[in-house]
Amino acid sequence: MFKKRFKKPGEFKAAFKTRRRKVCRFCEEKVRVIGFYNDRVLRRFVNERGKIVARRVSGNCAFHQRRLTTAIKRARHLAIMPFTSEYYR
Amino acid sequence: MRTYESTFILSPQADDAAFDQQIKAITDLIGNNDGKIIKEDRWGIRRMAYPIKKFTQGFYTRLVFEGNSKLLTELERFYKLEEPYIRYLTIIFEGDPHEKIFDDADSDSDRAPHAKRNEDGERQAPAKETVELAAAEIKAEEPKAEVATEVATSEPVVTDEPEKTEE
Repeated sequence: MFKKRFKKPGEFKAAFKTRRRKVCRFCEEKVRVIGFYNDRVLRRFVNERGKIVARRVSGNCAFHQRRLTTAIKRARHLAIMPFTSEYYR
Repeated sequence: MRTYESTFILSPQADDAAFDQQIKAITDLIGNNDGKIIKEDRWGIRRMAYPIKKFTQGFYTRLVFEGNSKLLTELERFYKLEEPYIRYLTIIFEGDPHEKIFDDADSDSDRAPHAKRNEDGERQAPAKETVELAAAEIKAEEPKAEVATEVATSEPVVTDEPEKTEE
């Protein structure tokens, strides 16, 4: 099964150990308030279709992901951010 | 009393005097209902991410103010009744209004990201130009091309002269 791909002993364990742990970027910069008007920041956490990137992908902590989500949704309401990109419309 | 922030988009079909008047209507309404304006932030005309009421641009203004619940109901009612306010958002203000906003140095740093974002908006705008604006772009490009040809013609003249002297 999955483990069979790692033939040498200890290789399976090593692959997971070497993977870099993602750190929440907002925690790094000690941001408390994520403003809906700050679209340059918000755009980094949205894919090219305009969808909000999942926490497991972006590496955000639960607190900041929650704040980010509300900020993006507010920005969408005010047409600062797109609901969907024009390409897919 | 609580601190709120209210952002609204005005219809772009108006001149600066009309924008002033429409923003003043809101600030007066807040003032008349025991409210207090803490900060007024005009972003100016911005391209919107999607059309609202068939407008592709809008005049954005963000107000931070103190007020009570009665003021908010009045404000929301006013937004709904008046036509130039094409979209609005009123939320509880987060952050430290007493530390950041009243401090001049910090308010300048607050403005700096806005200025940067506006520059970016201008930079992004040409890439996303609509068909209407594309014609204007072509017109703008033509003089540049003429200048380029002038430069190109003037350069050979300069290079021709030394050649003649060599001959």
